[in-house]
Amino acid sequence: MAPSQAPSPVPQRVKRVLSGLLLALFAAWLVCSAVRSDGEKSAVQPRAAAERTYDKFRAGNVSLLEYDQNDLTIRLSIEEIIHRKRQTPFFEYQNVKELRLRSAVFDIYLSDASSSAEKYGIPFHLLERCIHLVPGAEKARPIGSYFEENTDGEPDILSRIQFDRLAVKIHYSAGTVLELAAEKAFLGGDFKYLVLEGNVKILTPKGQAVRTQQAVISRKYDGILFPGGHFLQGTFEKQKSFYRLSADGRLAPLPLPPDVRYADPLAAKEQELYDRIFKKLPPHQRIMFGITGPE
Amino acid sequence: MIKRVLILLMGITAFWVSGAFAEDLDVELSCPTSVYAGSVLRVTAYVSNDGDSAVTLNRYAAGMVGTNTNNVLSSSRVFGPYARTMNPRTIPATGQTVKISSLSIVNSVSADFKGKMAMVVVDFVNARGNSLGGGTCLVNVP
Repeated sequence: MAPSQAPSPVPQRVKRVLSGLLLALFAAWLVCSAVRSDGEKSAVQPRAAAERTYDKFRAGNVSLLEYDQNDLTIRLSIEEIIHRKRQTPFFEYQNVKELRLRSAVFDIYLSDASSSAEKYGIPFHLLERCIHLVPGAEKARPIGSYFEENTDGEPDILSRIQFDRLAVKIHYSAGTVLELAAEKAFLGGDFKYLVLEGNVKILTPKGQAVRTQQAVISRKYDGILFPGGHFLQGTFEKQKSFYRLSADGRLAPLPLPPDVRYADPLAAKEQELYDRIFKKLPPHQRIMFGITGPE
Repeated sequence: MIKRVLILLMGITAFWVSGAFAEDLDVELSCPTSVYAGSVLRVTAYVSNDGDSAVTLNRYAAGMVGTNTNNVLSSSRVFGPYARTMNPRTIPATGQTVKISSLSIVNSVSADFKGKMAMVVVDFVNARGNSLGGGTCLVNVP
């Protein structure tokens, strides 16, 4: 019987090398999967961040048409509507709500009869109807109105409607158009004003172009207020101004701007509170309470 | 610390109703020591009138405010304002203090306040919804 041969050192070394390679491959696979799952996570995270929180509903790509008999009167197109709790840097209101509309385009078509009556005025009733057509917006009311009623309920209060990118086009029967556009806008619960903010552009039916950072469309005074100056046809007007749309579709300035009140009452009161707290607290306590600076 | 945060929140009373017509009512609220989440919360108000004429109270705005986490002032939760009615009570102009019991604040204290102190706010309003005067008190939600 031949003596058993000792295993040659070469296959042993090969075995070790192969095992080492296998281990290395396994480790590499682990690392790769970890990296890939991280990558997947990071791809998911922006999507998750994009999923904005909502309270009652969120709707996308809303398009609505309203006809008066056979005539198209309103065309709405909204990329996204979010019904949510009102949230500010300090407070989250559980029953005070707001609607946030992203990329909203309102087209209002005036018939011959209505436009002859209103000439080139701003049809606030149709603007309000546009808002009422938006799902969930029909119950918008100012907060104060709830305290004028004898009620003991705990209702949700839809206190305001906000827009991220708003474009309104009012089509007059003569074929002319009044265009309003802004990066941001908000509307109080009582529909008395529409505040346009950030890169505001207004084009009158007669082609006058206005650019400003803030404009207030006032229902009460039937016109447009520019609180902090504006460019009209490229000329800068520094002072606060108020215009009405004249019968010929041009902007007619009022010599004395009326006292248009357009601040959101809740936001204004909160601002007062922030200012008061910010003044009173020493720096280390501001940090303790999470107050980093005046809003 | 929590008390301090809540006291800072007292400014919120002014958020709800216009104080433009505030009369000379001095309101002191008395909260129960504690209230469980899910229970009805009622408080007592001691109202005196430093004005020249008697004031009849029959409605008020009520609410609760509490910090969310870690006593940081951000994301404090506000429940209210809720419009409330009550049996009419006349506060004479003599400076005499009138006790008004069982003012309903919320039908069910939110579980969000569990383990925290919450601030209760009451603001008496007139028929036009304007503030006549209000007060606050603290309640523990075990």
